[in-house]
Amino acid sequence: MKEIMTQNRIRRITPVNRPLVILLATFCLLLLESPAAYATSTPMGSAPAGESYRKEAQPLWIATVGRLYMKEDLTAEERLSLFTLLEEHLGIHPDGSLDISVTRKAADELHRYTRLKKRPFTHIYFDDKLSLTGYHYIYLETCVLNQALETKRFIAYFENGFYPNRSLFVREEHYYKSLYYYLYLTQDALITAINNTVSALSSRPDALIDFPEAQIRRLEIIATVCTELDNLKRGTRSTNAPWERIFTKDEAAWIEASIAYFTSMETHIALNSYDGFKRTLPLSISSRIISHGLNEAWIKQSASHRTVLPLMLFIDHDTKEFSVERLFHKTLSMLKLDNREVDLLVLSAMKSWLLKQIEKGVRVEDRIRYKEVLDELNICPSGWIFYNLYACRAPLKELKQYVDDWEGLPLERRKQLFKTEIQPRYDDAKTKIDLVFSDLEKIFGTEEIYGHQYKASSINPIFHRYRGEIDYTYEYLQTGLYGTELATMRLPLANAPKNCLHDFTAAFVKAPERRINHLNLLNAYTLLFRELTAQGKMEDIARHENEMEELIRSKAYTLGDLLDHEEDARYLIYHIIADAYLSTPPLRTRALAVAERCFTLARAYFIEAARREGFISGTLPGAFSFEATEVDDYERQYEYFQTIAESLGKKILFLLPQEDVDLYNRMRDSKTPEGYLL
Amino acid sequence: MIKNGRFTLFCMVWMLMISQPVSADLVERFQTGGQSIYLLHALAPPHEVKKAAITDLVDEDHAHLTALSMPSKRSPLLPVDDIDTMVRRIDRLTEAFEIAKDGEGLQRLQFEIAYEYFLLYLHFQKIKYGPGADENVPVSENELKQYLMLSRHYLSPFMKKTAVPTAARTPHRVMDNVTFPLRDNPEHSLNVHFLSMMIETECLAGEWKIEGIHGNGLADETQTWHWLETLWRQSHSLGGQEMTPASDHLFDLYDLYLRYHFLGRSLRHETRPDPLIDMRTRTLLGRLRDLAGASDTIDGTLYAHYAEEANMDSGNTRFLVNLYLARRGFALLNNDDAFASKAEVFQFFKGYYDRAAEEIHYNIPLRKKIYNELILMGVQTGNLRLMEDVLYQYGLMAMHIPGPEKRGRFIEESSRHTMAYLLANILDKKRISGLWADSGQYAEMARTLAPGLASRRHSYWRYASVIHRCLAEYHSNTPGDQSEALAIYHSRKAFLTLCKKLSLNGQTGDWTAFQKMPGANHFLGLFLYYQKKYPTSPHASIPHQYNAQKIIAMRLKQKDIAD
Repeated sequence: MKEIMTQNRIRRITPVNRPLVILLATFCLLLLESPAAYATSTPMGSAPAGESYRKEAQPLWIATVGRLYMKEDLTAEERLSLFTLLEEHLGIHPDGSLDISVTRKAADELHRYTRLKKRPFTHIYFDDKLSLTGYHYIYLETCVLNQALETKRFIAYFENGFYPNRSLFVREEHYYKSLYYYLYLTQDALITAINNTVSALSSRPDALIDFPEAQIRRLEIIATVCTELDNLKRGTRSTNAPWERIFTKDEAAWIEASIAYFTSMETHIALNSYDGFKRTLPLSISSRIISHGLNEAWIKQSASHRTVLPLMLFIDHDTKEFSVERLFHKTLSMLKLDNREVDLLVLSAMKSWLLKQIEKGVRVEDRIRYKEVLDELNICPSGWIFYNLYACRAPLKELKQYVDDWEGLPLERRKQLFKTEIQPRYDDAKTKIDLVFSDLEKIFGTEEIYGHQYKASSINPIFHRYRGEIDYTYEYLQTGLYGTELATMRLPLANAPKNCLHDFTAAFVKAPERRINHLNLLNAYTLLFRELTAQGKMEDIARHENEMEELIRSKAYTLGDLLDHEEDARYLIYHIIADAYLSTPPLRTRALAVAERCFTLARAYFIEAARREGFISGTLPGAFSFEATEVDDYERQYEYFQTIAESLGKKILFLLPQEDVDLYNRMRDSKTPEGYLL
Repeated sequence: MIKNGRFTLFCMVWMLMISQPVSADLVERFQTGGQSIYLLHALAPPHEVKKAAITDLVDEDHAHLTALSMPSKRSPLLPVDDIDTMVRRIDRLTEAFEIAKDGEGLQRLQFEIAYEYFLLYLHFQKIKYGPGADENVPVSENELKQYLMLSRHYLSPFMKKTAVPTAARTPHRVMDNVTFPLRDNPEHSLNVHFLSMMIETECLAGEWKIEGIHGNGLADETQTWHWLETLWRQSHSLGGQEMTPASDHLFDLYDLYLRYHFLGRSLRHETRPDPLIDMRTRTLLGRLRDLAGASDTIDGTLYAHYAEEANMDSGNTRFLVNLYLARRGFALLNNDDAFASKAEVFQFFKGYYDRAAEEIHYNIPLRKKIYNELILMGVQTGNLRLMEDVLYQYGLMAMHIPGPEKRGRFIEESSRHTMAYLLANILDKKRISGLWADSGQYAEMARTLAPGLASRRHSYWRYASVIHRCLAEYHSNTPGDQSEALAIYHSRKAFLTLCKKLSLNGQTGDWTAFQKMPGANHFLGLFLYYQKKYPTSPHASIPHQYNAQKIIAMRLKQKDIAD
């Protein structure tokens, strides 16, 4: 049995091109030193002979490293030999890069060494480092202990060898200590470099920045290191390496400060605000930070969102409050960084979050609100656009608050409010929507307007609606400032080539199925006709009237069709137009046609209501006595038509069928308390 | 005649249904999914009463019908509005449930979670189908179903345990095992069977197909009844004072039970009479009456009324179940925020009235009252087409049912009065709206009804006056041989009805009393107007019955003074 084995071993060894002397020497040495270990650690026959040869050689350097490491003070030579030994066996090249095949071998050897029953060298402070991570740690720690001389070696190795290959190492105490050492050695220099560059840039923004490639790389690595340490601190990644055990209190505090600096989004946003940095810094740095931030927020969230519940329950464990809003805004603020990689991350995260919220939100109002937000999000091609679009909401909402009782305020108050409250909000909203459109036009091309022909681009109507609403609200409020001088003021809505009317038209034409678009467009027309009338521009009125009528009559759009009669601004528009025509002698006859249109509209609404209430016999509607506002409308428009007809010297009895006149009379009569009496 | 009437009615209803433009699916879904909201749970109180027109119900009748249609507020045992509390409690309880060991604590947690999920169901059901909801509410059907399922899921251990030998156990022991306080309030408690009964009834009403719920809630209902019975006995025995639930709480329990009991009975479509259940219903109503009578805060007349009605069909109470549910329609139609147009709401409740009428087996004349109530509800829609096409047919049906015309306190007890009310509304609406062209078809009915309406006891004379006025105007507008005579005849009748009422009240010819009657000056003016218009007609002379000439003289005198 033993013979066969020896033969076997010799035969296997022959191809190896090593001097036989060394082989035999080491072999003997090993046998001498620990015959028992040899006997137990080599499973006879199963392990190939070649490996057992190497294994037998290893413990020598491992033990040597241990002895050197445990020495109190190392002389320069000893230190050098320690480095050389480690570099040779761990596969560290002079430039710091790592030969992975060598280092894997070392891992093997170390593993086997730990399984020896009687180790050539053992020490209580050394034995826990008998692993690949531990040995690399020894290398790095030795550098740190002699940082005056060896900082370069450390940085070169860490940046080129250790960190890029971090998947080789176990996430445990020594690994994190190594990370800490890296921060310790590099951070100050980097921050100084950044500060110098920033101060140079702020004094001369167009200066070329002095921030070499290596520094950028360092920044990237530090950012990653910080996120990794942050994860450790939050105990999310590795549960078996608690933060408190690895670092002392002082170290922990120091690390937390660096984490706060490097993983904060504000730092990155600040850096990116300098053109120089924005051009040179890779996108991935920020995106890593963002994904780290997202991760953090979401893990917190998943802790409070209990998966067993059918509803999304977000309760902040400290304040015991629902924190849906806060979470949304936190995620939203990440879009502040105009960075495509960040966009991808954040947008997809947000979409899934919103979807969940819509389906499972606790409050139904929230569901409705987030549905709207998601609809907007889905049409935004980039996160930056969405961020700005969303930011328009608040100022627009505030602007709209003034609309309702604007006419009721005294003129002076209006002027003052306009200057102090409205103008800044409008500027704010306008800047943001302009940012949105400048980006959109880069993607979809510009909108063009030839006369009243409109060449649409594929920009989504929602964007048009927003810009239109911002402009319209502003102009509506502005119109209120002039009072009686409206006629002399040159107003943008009637004259500017780009105005809210165009936006509303674009939104309406693209999405005629949405009620709000009908409403907006009619509102804009009301304002337009008011201004045109004040300025006496009859041709313009006629032109826009035709334009509007086309939209109302066309089968594809039917402007105003989706509205309730109460919110239908067409009555008002027709009145404005008809009054304008009436005051212009050549156009007086057109006034009658417009007034008739107005009456027909009211009649159509009325018949619909009569059918609903069951007051119809055949096609003949009856005057019903309910408090339905359709009745009022019918009367008002009838009377208006009558006035216009009378001022043209005509009798309404000859203009309308008898039923309509009867209906009107009945409505009047049913209002008197005595009832209707023939 | 009745057969024929029914057929016409069917055609009319059919036409009315197909003429409704609103999407039928949605309305149908509201009627199943939202059924329990509109039938059981209280709605917002009606808007402030408008100034009553002369054709409206007189105040007592209106108040009576409103009282019948609004059983009470939403039960305090089911607080559905505070979603925050529900969700937080569910979260906390579920957390506790996950770490809980087996035992009584665990059972209690299961019950509490089931209860909260049931509330969650009611909450979202109210949002999805309740007043003011539309099809865009972002709550899915599946979600609702899920809550019901979860509630059922947490309750299922109890059901398994007690389902096996129910008959063998005494109700007392069952009760001891499975009653828990509600939301840590020791004064309010609920039995698991009670909760299970509500879940199953909701499931049946919403037509949710949920695995594990096959029963129709009957078994649980019986168990719950035993429990309530025990509570009742406890509170009425002298010994068990310390165990006794407060009588308000007992009332709440019985009231809630009543609602689900009725809904359950209606949904199960019982085919055979079951004296045991009839008896339970009667006992239930009787106890509610007693409880309400003992309390200062609750108005007991409603339950007294129901307890009385329960005995009207020789012990059969099946009709009462549907009648109870149908009456909710009156309240709903007075509220503007129903789930659909008024005509559709009417259709929904009409179904319950029809069933109530069908299920009367012994006391057939009672159907009159049911049809009358149906008409009174229908008039609330104010829909002229509906009144003419549907309600009028019901009125004819009610009048043709043989049986004595009872003289009751309220309008719905007499089909003649109800018909007069309906006719007054139809004719008046036709007159005002200008769609009067075919008013003549009602003249014969008017002639039979009008003379009997003036009475000392009630004030339905007003309907007679209105009918006469409308006919007067109709005839004066319609060319014909006798139209002149008929116009002055009816206007004279309209005026004389007032005078007759005055004289019945013992105030014959009293001008100040006359002035206080609604529409008095108007009817007098109408007669004077036609008197002037058709002076040659035989009816144009100044009437001398009931001292009417005195009133006319006063009027003319005042006019002179004014001139």
